[in-house]
Amino acid sequence: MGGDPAQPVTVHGGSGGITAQCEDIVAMARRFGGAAQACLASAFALHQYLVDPTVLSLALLDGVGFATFEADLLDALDGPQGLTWSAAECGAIDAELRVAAAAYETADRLYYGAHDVATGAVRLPAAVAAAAAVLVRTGDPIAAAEVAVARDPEVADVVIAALQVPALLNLLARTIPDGHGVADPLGIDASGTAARPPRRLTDLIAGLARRNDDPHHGTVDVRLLTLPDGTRRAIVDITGTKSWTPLPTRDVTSLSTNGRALVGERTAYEQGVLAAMRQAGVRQSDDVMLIGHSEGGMVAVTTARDTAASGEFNVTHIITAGAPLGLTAGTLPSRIQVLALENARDVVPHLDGVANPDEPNVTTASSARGDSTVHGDHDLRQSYLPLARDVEAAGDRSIRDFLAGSRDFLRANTVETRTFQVQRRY
Amino acid sequence: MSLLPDPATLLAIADRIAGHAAAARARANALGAAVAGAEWRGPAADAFAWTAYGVLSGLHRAGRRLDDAADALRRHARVVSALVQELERLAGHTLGLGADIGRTVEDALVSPGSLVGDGRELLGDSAGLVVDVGDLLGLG
Repeated sequence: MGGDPAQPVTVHGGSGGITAQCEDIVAMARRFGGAAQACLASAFALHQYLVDPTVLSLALLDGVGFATFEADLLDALDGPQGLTWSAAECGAIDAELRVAAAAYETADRLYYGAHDVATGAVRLPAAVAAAAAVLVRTGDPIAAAEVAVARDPEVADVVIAALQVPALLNLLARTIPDGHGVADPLGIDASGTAARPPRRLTDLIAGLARRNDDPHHGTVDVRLLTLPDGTRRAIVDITGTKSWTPLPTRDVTSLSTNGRALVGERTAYEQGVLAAMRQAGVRQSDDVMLIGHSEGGMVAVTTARDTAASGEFNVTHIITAGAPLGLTAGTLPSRIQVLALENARDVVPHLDGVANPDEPNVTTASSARGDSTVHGDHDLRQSYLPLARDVEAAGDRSIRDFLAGSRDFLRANTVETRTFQVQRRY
Repeated sequence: MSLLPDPATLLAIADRIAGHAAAARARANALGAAVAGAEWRGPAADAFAWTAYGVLSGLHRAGRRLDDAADALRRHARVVSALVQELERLAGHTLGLGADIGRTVEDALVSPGSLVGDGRELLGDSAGLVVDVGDLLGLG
C-alpha cells in the first residue's frame, strides 16, 4: 500500500471552506460599509465649507478665486465619481456582498442536504448489484451487506438519519451505567514510533495505530514533546472501539461510550483520558493535540470541549480518523482546530447521520481507501494511514493551514511516551 | 485691527480639505489591498474585484479633486491676503492725510507764511493716495 499513488482528496470546511469564505466576504462587506460611512461623514463636513462665513465674507475681494474654489469643491463632492458617489457605491458593495454571502451559505446548506440523498441514490444500484454478487458467490449475507455499505456509504447518512439511529443508540447507551473512568499506567514506551518525535501527519497516525495495536482495550498514549526552545507540547492518542458489548463492563470502549459520545455526552472514557493526562504531567501551559480513531475521535472532541470549559488543559488541535463528528464538532470553541480524516468508503463516520459542519476550525478531508469491507475500510493501517499520505500530498488551503498551525507538534527534539489503560469502574 | 476676517482662516480650511483628501486616498489604498488579498476565486469574485476597483479609482479621483479644491482655496487666500494688506496700508495713508490737513490749518493760523509749503506737501500726499487707490482698483 505504501507505494500507492496519492488519491484525490476532497476537503470540506476549514480555513478554505464555505463558512470561512463567507466570513471573509462579510468582513470585506464591513470594510466597504465602514468606508461608506467615513466618506459620507467626510462629505458632510466638507459641504459646510461651501457656505462657511469666512469663505463667503472674503468672496468679494477675489470673486474669481472664490468661484473657482466653490466649483472645485462642489465637483469633488457631488460631481461624477465624487466623494458622495464613492460613499454610495461603497455602501452598495457592502449590501451586495452581504447578500452574496447569505446566498452562498444557503446554497451550500441545500447542496449538502441533498448531497447524501443524490449520491446515495446514484450509487445504490451498483452497491446492490455488488452485494448480490457476493451473496451468490459466498452465500454470506453479512459479507454482502459489508460490500453494499462500503460501495455506498452516503446512503447510510440518509438511512441512519431516517431511522433516528443516533437518538436510539443514545437511548440504549443511557440504559447502561457508564460508571467512572480511571487510568492505569502501563509504563513508558521507548520503542518504535513511540520513541521518535513525529515529523508529519503520517507519523501522528502511525503513533495512534501503534497504540491501537495494543492488546489492551482502552489504551491511551500521552506523548510529551520538548521543543528546541525548551517549551513543551503534548499529544494524546485515544484508541477506538474494541468491545460492542451492550452490557455493563469495565471495558471503556464498549457501546455505552459510543452511544453517549456520538451525541456529545461526557463519558467514563473521557474521565480516564483526563486522568491519564494528569498522571503523565501535562500542564495547563502545554498546548495539547488529541488524536483519536473512531470512538476515540468522538471522545477527543468531548474532552477538548470540556477542558476548554474547565480550563484544566489547553487543547489546541484534534485529529480524528474515521470518527462520526457531525453532531459534536460544531460545539467546539473556534480556537480548537480539527482535522477529521474520513475514508470515503468507511461507513463509521456516517453513523451520526449528518455531515461534519463546515466551520473555519473544522476541516474534513476524504479520499477513497480500503478493501471494500467494513472492517478494512475503517482500519487505521489499511485505510487511514494511506489516507493521511493522500492528505499530506494534497495542496488544499484548509489542510495547509491546519498543518501549518500544528507545526510545533512536529518539530520536537525529544519525546517521552507514557501509556495508560483507561477502564470503567462502578 | 481689520474689520475683515483673517485670510489665514482660509488656509486652515484648505489644510482641513487636504486632510480629507489624504484620508480618502488612504481609505482607497486600504480597501484596494484588502480586495487584492481576498482568497475567493471565480467569475463572481472577478466581477466584485472589477466593481471594487472602479469604485476605488473614483475614490482616488475624489481625493485628487479635493486637493485641487484645497489648492484653489490657498490661491484665493493669497490674493485676499494681499488685498487686505493693501487696504490696511491705504487706511493708514488716509489717516495720515487727515492729520496733515489738521496740522496745515493750524500752521496757517499761527504762521500764514508757511501755508504755501504745507499746501504743496499736502497736495503731494493726496496725489500719492489717489495713485494707490488707482493701483488697488487695477487702474495704475
